[in-house]
Amino acid sequence: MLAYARFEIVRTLRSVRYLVLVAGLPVVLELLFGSRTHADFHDGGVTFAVFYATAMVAWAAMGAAINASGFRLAAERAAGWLRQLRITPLSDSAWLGGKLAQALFLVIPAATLVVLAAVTIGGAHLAAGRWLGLLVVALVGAIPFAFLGLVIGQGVDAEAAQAAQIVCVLVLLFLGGVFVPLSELPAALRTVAWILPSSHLMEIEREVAAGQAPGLVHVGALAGWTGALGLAAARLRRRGAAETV
Amino acid sequence: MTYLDSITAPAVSFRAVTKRFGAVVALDGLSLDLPAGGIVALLGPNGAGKSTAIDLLLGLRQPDEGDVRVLGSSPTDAVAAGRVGAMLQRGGLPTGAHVEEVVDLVRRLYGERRGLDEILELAGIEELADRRVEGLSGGQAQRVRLALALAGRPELLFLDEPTAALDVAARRRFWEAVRGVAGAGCTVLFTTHHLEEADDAADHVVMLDRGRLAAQGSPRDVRAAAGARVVRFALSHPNPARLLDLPGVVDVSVNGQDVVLRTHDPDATVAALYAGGEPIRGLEVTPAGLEEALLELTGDPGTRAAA
Repeated sequence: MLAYARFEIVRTLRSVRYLVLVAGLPVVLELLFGSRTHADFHDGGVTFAVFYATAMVAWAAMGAAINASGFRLAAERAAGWLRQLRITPLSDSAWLGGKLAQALFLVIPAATLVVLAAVTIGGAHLAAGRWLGLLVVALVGAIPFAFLGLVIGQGVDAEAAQAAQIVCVLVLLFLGGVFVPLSELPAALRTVAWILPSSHLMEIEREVAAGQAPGLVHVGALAGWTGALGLAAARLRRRGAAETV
Repeated sequence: MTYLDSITAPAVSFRAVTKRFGAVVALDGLSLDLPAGGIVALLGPNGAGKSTAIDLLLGLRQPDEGDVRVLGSSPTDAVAAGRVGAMLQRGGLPTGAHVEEVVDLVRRLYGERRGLDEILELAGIEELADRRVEGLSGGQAQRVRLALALAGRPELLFLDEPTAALDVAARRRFWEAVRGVAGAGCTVLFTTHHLEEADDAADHVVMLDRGRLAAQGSPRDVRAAAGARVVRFALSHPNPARLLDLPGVVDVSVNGQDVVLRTHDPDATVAALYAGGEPIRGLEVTPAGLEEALLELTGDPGTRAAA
């Protein structure tokens, strides 16, 4: 698995401009809007600036994770590379592990850049230990989203994959409380939001930023999504490799 | 399996394998054994079930009924143990990587059984090592894919239409490399639509038709089974028993003075005919190869030439 992980990481590092695209938007938004102050902002023990920063970190982590493997996967499938890999001893779990390593390798710089922007220009003040905690949460919490990227990349054909990823990210952000606080969403949407993993990631981030322990409900939700999406990704890998339809 | 079993056991065996896709029966109770060692050609018209059989023996699909064994174990076990290598027709290469990175990756996945330089040399791609995959021509990409198939020193090597994009020189180099590998103990199984290639390269031929086994044996035996070589001539006094004794003759049919012989060695037959001394009129030998055999042995019975 290590050889495969290294192969995927080296390949990804080659497309530097891709890295920029993935991390770019949340960083830009953080730079532009992070330093607005809302003195009357109350949301569980953090200032608005910090809350905004956690939202942007979540965005960067989810976006990087979903897009990391997805963009190439559909092309790899069409070109037959996935089929070729299936004849080698690379097991499903080793393949998942390698793809995951690649995705997380993109999440780290993306999330770090947002944090740096928040600390320098965004005016978000937080103890260094908590920033570090946020990054760890972003990294671990990105795992289910990395698997989601693999499911999309294998589940739809090459042209649709790009659009599907964008739509997924937008839905997750919107129903994750990144654009609009969840409390301001209509009740029905709030229920859906609670099922999706993005709201839970946001909550854990906020809790860590406020110095609280991550809620078990949120950790459990992310773990559940991780298991389900990981199984789905492995299943799709097995099914996709056959010559016959 | 005991050691004795493993040295005589077939490389691949299908036992009454059936595979359906909806209403289509792709494989219909197929049973066959592919001998270990040597080079085997898997032939058949489109729709014969070759692709399905390949998916099953590579562990990419499971049969609905019956059993597939590869090198004595299940296909998925054989693949997981790194005993199988394949050059797939619709297999491809990853973008954003250099040739030697891709070859090295596959080499490591198989547990580094061969050195990187050794593999590059076998496939004849030393000068392509640091090229980007995207920049390869069709023929170059094909040689890289051969390298990937050989990288793990597999016991079973499957090649799907391996010479499709290769020019004559590259094709010759390809078969040299493959013969070398087969000589070292690897079983090679390949498919091709160039039946002369199968005739030349294969020790053993397996022909499928509509999900079943139509014929198998050495290329010569399969050609003989098709009865496609025909020697026609006229004799004043044909003697069927003596004609049947001629070398290579499988069947004799006499109509008055017209004789039709089916033979798997027309040269020997004709030589013996002339040596026999009787004057022969109007000698005709129809050319034959696996192509004729394929047409003869497969397809609707109604389209077959009357025997």
